[in-house]
Amino acid sequence: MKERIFEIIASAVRDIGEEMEIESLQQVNEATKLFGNGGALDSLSLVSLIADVEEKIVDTFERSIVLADERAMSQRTSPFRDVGSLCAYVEKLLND
Amino acid sequence: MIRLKPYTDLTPQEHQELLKVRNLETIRNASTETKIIDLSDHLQWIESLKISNAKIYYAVIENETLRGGLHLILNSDKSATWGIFFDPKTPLGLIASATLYFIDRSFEHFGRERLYSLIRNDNGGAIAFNRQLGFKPLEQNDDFVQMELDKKGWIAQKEKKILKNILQYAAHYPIQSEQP
Repeated sequence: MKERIFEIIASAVRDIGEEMEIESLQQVNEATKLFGNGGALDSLSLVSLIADVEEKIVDTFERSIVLADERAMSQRTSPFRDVGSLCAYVEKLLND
Repeated sequence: MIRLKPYTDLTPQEHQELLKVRNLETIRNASTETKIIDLSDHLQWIESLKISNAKIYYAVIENETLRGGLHLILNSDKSATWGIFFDPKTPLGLIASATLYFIDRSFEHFGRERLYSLIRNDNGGAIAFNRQLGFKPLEQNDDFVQMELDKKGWIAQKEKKILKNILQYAAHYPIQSEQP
């Protein structure tokens, strides 16, 4: 499951990296920073990424999840800070 | 359902909730007016809104939770200055949905040809947010940068993949605007 989640997120990050012409988002690994301190995304492009990831999760796992709800926004450590933290958050939501 | 409710129609309880959000340190530090606003000053200012056709202020309410505010100051030359603030816990999709709806409404319903943002120079997040909406820097001084978006630019921006994606996602957060 972890690998499939990583592939979904990495593919969505690469797409947005190409759209925004941000090189750091086109070479994706777990440490790739997304949002917040040092991250390459602003809040609107993060919403676009989230929309892509949620859609691909439904296609792959036939499960619907909501990534950017109040629970996510209230966490002391943001699940959107890098690819690894987003992968872990998606996995947690799928296992809930 | 998200409601845009005119400040002038808020209940006493909603005015308090609005100030609670508006007076959060993170929001004050990003605003043109950084001091804490007390309730009596706020209510006095609300009275001035009731007799102004040029100042449009809405609270953003999700179910029963007041999330933030949006405003538009209309100028006589078909332009306007707009601004937003949201509780940091607000879901990002809601912020995006309310913002896109309000910009569309500014051009279509309020007949504006140009919108201006006034943003603190050190507020990189807000500057990036405005750029993503298609705003371009116009003027800058030691404290603020003024950014501009015209109607043609907005229509073009909405055709880009990122905003298309967001507009699709915004359907999760349907919005209803109340008339002042």
